[in-house]
Formats: sequence, C-alpha cells, structure tokens
Amino acid sequence: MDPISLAFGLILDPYVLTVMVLAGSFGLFMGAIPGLSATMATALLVPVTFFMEPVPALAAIVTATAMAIFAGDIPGALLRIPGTPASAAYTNEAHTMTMNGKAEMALGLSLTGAILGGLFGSAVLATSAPVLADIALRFSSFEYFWLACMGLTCAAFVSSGTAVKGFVSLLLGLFIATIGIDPMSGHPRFTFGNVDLMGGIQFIPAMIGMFAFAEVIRSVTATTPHFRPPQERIGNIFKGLGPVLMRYKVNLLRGSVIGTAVGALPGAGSDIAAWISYAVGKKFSKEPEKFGTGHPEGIVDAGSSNNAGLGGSWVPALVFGIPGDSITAIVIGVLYMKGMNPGPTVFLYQPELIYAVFLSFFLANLMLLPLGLTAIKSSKRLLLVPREILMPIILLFCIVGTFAINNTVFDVGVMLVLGLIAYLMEENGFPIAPAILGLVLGPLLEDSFITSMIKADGDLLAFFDRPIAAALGVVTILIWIVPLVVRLRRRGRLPEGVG
Amino acid sequence: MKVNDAVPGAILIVFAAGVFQQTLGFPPMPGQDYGSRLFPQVIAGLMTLCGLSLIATGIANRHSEPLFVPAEWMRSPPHFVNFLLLVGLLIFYILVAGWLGFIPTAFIILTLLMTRLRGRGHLISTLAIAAVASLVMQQFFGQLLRVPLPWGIVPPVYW
Repeated sequence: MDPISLAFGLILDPYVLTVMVLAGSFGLFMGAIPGLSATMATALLVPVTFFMEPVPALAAIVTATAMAIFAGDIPGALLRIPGTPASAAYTNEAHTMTMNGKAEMALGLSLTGAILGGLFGSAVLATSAPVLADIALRFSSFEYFWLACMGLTCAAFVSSGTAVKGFVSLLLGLFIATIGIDPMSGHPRFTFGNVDLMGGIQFIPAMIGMFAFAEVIRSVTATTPHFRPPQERIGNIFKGLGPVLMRYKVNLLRGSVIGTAVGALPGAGSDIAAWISYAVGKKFSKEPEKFGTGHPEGIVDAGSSNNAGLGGSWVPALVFGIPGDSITAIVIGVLYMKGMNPGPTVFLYQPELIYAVFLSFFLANLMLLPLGLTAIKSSKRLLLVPREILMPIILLFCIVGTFAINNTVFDVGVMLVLGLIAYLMEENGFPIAPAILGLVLGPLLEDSFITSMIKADGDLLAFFDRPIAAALGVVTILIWIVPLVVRLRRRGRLPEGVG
Repeated sequence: MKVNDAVPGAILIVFAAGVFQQTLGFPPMPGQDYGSRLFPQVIAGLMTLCGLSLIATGIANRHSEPLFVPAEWMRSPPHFVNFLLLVGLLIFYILVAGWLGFIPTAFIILTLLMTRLRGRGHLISTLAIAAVASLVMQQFFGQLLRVPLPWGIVPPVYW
C-alpha cells in the first residue's frame, strides 16, 4: 500500500478520531479561558500524549492548538480579553463590533477566517515539507550547525522584548541543555554529584514549569478583579457572512500567506503573525481610518493569519527539526520521545506517519466548524468556569504531568524552580520562548559542532567548505552582524544630529 | 516585581563566572581541540556580554527605572499569602507525597488552595471537588496511563 493510503488508515481509526475530538474540546476550553494559552494547552497535553502511539499523540496536539488559537477570539470579542496572545492583535476591533451589536459577525469572521487560514497553512505544509525534506537529505552536520544557529538567532531577535533579553533567555535554555552527562566525552557537567541531574534537565518539567506553572502563579497573585461573563445571546453567526467574506477575499488570502510565512520563521509564532497581518491589512486598506472602530477587515486579515501560522511553524520543525515557535519546540520534544527524530529522514523511513500528521491538520481545521460553533454557543457557560477552582486543578495537573515522565518528584522540583524563574523573567520583559528553543536545540547545536570538528580535524573553515553550509553560514553571520553595525552607525551619527 | 536591568545583568555575570569556574574541571577530549568545556564556556562568555549590556541599559535608565519595584501582589498581604501557599504546597507535595500517597496529598493541596482562593463559605463544595478531582486524577494517570503515582498510607484500590 502507498504511504498516503496508509496515512488515511492511520488517521481515520476511531481511536484517533476520538482522541482528536477530546483534544479539540480541551483546546477550545483552554483557549476560551483568558490566561490559559495554546502553549499551556500543549504543555498540559504532552504528558498524556506520552502514553499514546505517534499518530494519535501528534494529531491530539495539532487539534488542540488549532482549536485553542481560534477559541482565544471568543473572550476577545465578548469581553475584550484575548483568550490567547494570538488573538490580542484584533481583540479591540472584535469587541467594538460586539458593542455595535455585531457579535455574531465578529465571531463568524473569526471562525471562518480561522478555518480557511488553517486549511491554507495545512496545504502549504503538506506541499512544501516533502520538497524541502528532499533538499535537506543532502545536509550534513555542517549545515545542521548553521541551521540551529540561524533558528536560535531568529528566535532571540523575533521574540517580544529587546534582543538582548531574548538572547539572555536563549542562553539560559542553552545552559540548561548542557546539564547532565556530556554524550560526547561521557563527563558529567554541572551535576554536583546529584544522580538525578546526571540524565540532564528533561524538557517536559521545564516546559510545564515555564508555561503552565508560571501562569498559575500569575493567576493566584492577580490583584485585578475577575471579569464578568457576557450577557448577550449569540444568534446565527453565519448570517450575512458571505458578502463580507467575498469583499475581503484578498485580505483572507494575504492573511493566510503572511501567517504561514511568519509561522515558518523560527521563533515567530501565531501571535506575531496576527500582529503583522493586522498592520499590513491596515496599511493596504482602502479605508484605514475605519480600523479600530469595529471594522471587519482587520479581523479577516489577522484571524486567518494566526491559524495559518500553525501549519507554517510545523514546516521547519518537521523538515529540519528546527522549531518555528514554542508550540513546535514542544512538538519536537514529543517527536524525539516517539522515536520519530525530526528531520528529512523521517520522510524517507516513516512517510505514512508524516502524511498522517498532514491529514490531521486538514481534519482538525474541518473539525473547527462544528466544535468551534459549539464553543461559541456555549461561550456564556464556558466563561463562567471559576478560576478559583480551575487553577488548583491545573496545579495538580502540572504535578502529575511532570511526575509521569520519569516517575520522580525531582522533576516536580525542577518544574517549581523553572516556573519561578520564568515568572520573574516575564515580569521583567525577558521572553520565555527562546529558553525553550535553546533547551530543545542546544544538544543539536553542540553535537553538530563537535561532530563537524571531529570530521574536519578541528579546522573551523570546514564550516564554509560545502556550498549550502557556506550560504547558510554567511546568512547567519550577517544576521548577527547587521543589527550591531546599524546600531553602531546610528550611535555614531547621533551626536552630530544632536549637536 | 520589576527590577532595574542592571540587577539581572549583575546576576548574569556572577552566574557566568560560576559556570566558567566549573568548566575548568572538565577533562579535554583526547586528540581533540574542542571538548565538553567549549560550549559552556562560550555560553558563559556570551552571558557576560549580555550582562554588561543589561548593566549599561540599567545605568542609562536609572532615573526612570528604580532598582526594585515590588509587584502589586507583594504589597497586598492576601495575595502575598496566595503566592507563599502555592509554592509551599508544591514543596509539601515533593516532601510528603511518597509516604502519604498521591490521593491524600492531592486532596490536601486542592482543599487548601481552593479554600484560600474561594473562601470558607464554599467549604463543602470545595471538599467535594477536591475529593473527586484527586480520585479522577489517580484513576486517569494511575490506572489508565499506568503512571506509578504513590499509594502511601492508602491501600491500593483498583476499580
């Protein structure tokens, strides 16, 4: 049987479909509740997927994230509180529409934009990943070293906050990755004789601590009063939607393209894609003055963009093992755990699994229609779930999820410490995503460097010997140098201007 | 809790110095120029540069950014207690879950945290939710996913 038929068989299994529906409902719930993000949904889902076969595990993550990114629009439109950071770009617009009595239109546009954008991102993923994988098959440790460098640099630059703070976060992640026995020399590093540290810091406790526990801390210490649930009834969200969508079909396509491209950029995820698309939408609009007054145009642009970004971010993750954002950083960890080492060889040896992942993307976006509609209809009740009950249960989930991987309470301690560090970092403008990327990519970076040096007998110029490696190397070094040069030149000019 | 950038900058430099000092004890790889100490040393070097940059920014912004501004919850005793309780409960789990068992420890954690956040007025529903959540979690992770959650003083019950 060919791999595509096999993939259909794998994904249409009733067990996998049930897992997808459950994960989708979980994602909708997490996304719709302000303060619980898509990344947190993924972080809490991973310990459960740990016990599944690769296809249901990955399908669960794909479905949950697609649902969570959309569901973030619901409290955005109804309460002016974005459910996930990816909805923040157009929360104001959607809420103003609700205030003008157009809640149905705002939610309808969000849902259809999310589905169409998501399908576009999935199509790009399914068509471009195998082609890129073919090229990536020719890569050696030299190319992987530069790819890892480039991915990490972009992650630090693109993340929120200043570039220096992004780098600090990245370096922290890279440092954590060096803890434990060095696989090359067999020498323990930074373990201080502790047996638990010998195996290194596992990424699941780190991720649950930094994304989920840090959020619990923020929630229990929040001094602002909790929001009031919306009062209005939601009618038919598809009423009058067709003409509006037809009018903004260019926006829909543009949002999807920008979302997919930005998503594929290492370090930039759906939230950044939504901000960029909203800004681009306003720049090219015929009526830019209407933006911010409850105008549907920006919602179409950004709403399709954030869901398209999901598919885009999986391209570098599956093809090169370089994550596009924090969610795919988690996915890469899951792929390693499932024995599907991300990279081009997975397309060669396990093509049916990769095709099944692509199919799960399409299916998840189609499922968004019935599940998303149900979530919109039950939004009043969903937003009534008290945070005072939810947060203690999430805390328990964090504990059990962390414990489940190695069955040791040491990991619970790791989660506590890293959660506190992540909380302090975010309070002071240090982004967290680069740290997780550093933790996941650190071993790849170090191994590819040391392997390359063993092959080249210590000659650093070998990193520029092969054509693709040389090109990647030059681009990476330019990314490092150009901002520094621009800054220095600006500084050099400033006194003249001032004088 | 907001601190002037110079504070994390200084912490970073001290941390990097510690990392560098530790790497001196790593043995070199025989016959190789690059060994297990290279990467941590590069990281320590870059951390020092970032630390210096943060200190420079911090000094430049010293008038607009005070050295330490406590978060709002730090000045509000009830929220400060919430924070201490949260961290304390996690430490409590680490210390006692092994011998007390998952179900009782989870029940205590949920009851205390929920009572603290919801108030004593909801005690009965809090106890009920805590009991159900602990049992469901044990059933889901312990039985279904085969995670060896500790039984402790509770005799193992399978249903």
